[in-house]
Amino acid sequence: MSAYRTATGYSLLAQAKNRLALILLAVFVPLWITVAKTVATPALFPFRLRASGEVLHAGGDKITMISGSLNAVSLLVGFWMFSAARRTSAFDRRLAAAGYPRGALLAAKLTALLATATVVSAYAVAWMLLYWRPLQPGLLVLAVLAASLIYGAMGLFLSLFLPGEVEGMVAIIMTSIIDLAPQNPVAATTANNPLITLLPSYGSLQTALQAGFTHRLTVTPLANSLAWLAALSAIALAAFMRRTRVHTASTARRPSLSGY
Amino acid sequence: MVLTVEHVAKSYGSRAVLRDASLHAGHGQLVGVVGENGAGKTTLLRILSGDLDADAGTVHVDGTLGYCPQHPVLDDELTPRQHLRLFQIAYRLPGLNRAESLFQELGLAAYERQPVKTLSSGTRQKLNLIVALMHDPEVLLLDEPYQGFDWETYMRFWDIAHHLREAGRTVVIVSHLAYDTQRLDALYRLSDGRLHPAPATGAHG
Repeated sequence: MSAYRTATGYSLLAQAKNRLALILLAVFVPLWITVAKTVATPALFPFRLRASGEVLHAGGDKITMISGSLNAVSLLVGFWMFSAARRTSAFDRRLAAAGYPRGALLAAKLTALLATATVVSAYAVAWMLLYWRPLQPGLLVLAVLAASLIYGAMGLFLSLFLPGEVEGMVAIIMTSIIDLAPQNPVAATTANNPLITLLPSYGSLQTALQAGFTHRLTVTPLANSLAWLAALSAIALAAFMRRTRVHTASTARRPSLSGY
Repeated sequence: MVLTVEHVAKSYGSRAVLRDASLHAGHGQLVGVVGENGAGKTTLLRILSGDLDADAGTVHVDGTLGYCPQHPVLDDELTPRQHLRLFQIAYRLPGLNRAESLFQELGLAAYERQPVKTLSSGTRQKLNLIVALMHDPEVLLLDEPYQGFDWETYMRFWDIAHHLREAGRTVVIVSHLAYDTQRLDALYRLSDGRLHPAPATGAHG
């Protein structure tokens, strides 16, 4: 327990010291949401909500704000987690080789992901609430949180292959563009294509649109989010366990002293 | 023998780095391994420490192990004091007396509450070494341990190494330069993927 508490405490402390991420949180998230609100037209747009099949009418500014906030939190949490994972990857190996319980290190990473995603999502939704009253604010938080978690896990996943923060950031930005642009009901004519249900933010966008403009809850899109989250986290965590193992196949250490 | 390495081989793709490396070290021995850049010294130490898998051969370590990698492996955002706390948990140490005295001995106490990213490379290297030493391991593997040390710290390092020897610990020091070989009990030269015993008295290599 102490191993988990210490690792989590230090992980969160290090997260809070990421100055660039903090600046992006303070400036980029509100800026994106404010720009979306002020620049996009408030004219009502008819669109079909894929999740339930019903046709809704919503202000273009609000739809753009939802899409923009998902974009902003995805980029930020993705970058934040990528940056943390790159920084600690060699150090985690050393700690685990020295005998630090790997389960505790792993749980600390998941806690840091959850904490970062929750703070960023709550902050983004708070900014949206300044401009607009969605019909189901709680559901909106959940929708934004799902996108944050997926991109946070994607940051952990990408850190396995990409060497530096620039490469990670470019990959996350490109993914987010490919993910969100085709499913935006205002901007894209592709939003009705069945393939968009496979995109990582499909669940978040559908749930956020429901939260904003209906009193209903269709959970199927969130199952898509859960599948993305589970798959990315599983790969990242399996890779973590693989990387932090100690090779004993060719060695004959005294069993009682294996955890040096 | 506390450390026995028999016929270890390791290739990266088609490039054989270690072909047939063998080494023996007993209690209270200071063993040096020298070799040119790229000779496979770091690969050898990583295999001995369990960080890397060998293709063939056996490694037998009779006791606890400490490994000091060539480039400091630390968390830039944490302080030296926080590193001690993490490694105290890792090594399951009841207290930090030994780490505290190493902090004093190597002059790290003044920096113990500064994030590692603000420390000089020599100071990082000291912390890198202390993390490998603080649980008083029976076998200590040091990869270029005094890189970036000033002269005074370099001399302190040898003091610590001699104390370890007197306490019966086995210390393997890897370096690309064969300086101070008269301080060693045994010297091996790594070339062509093999460890060749060399006289430990030559001042230069």
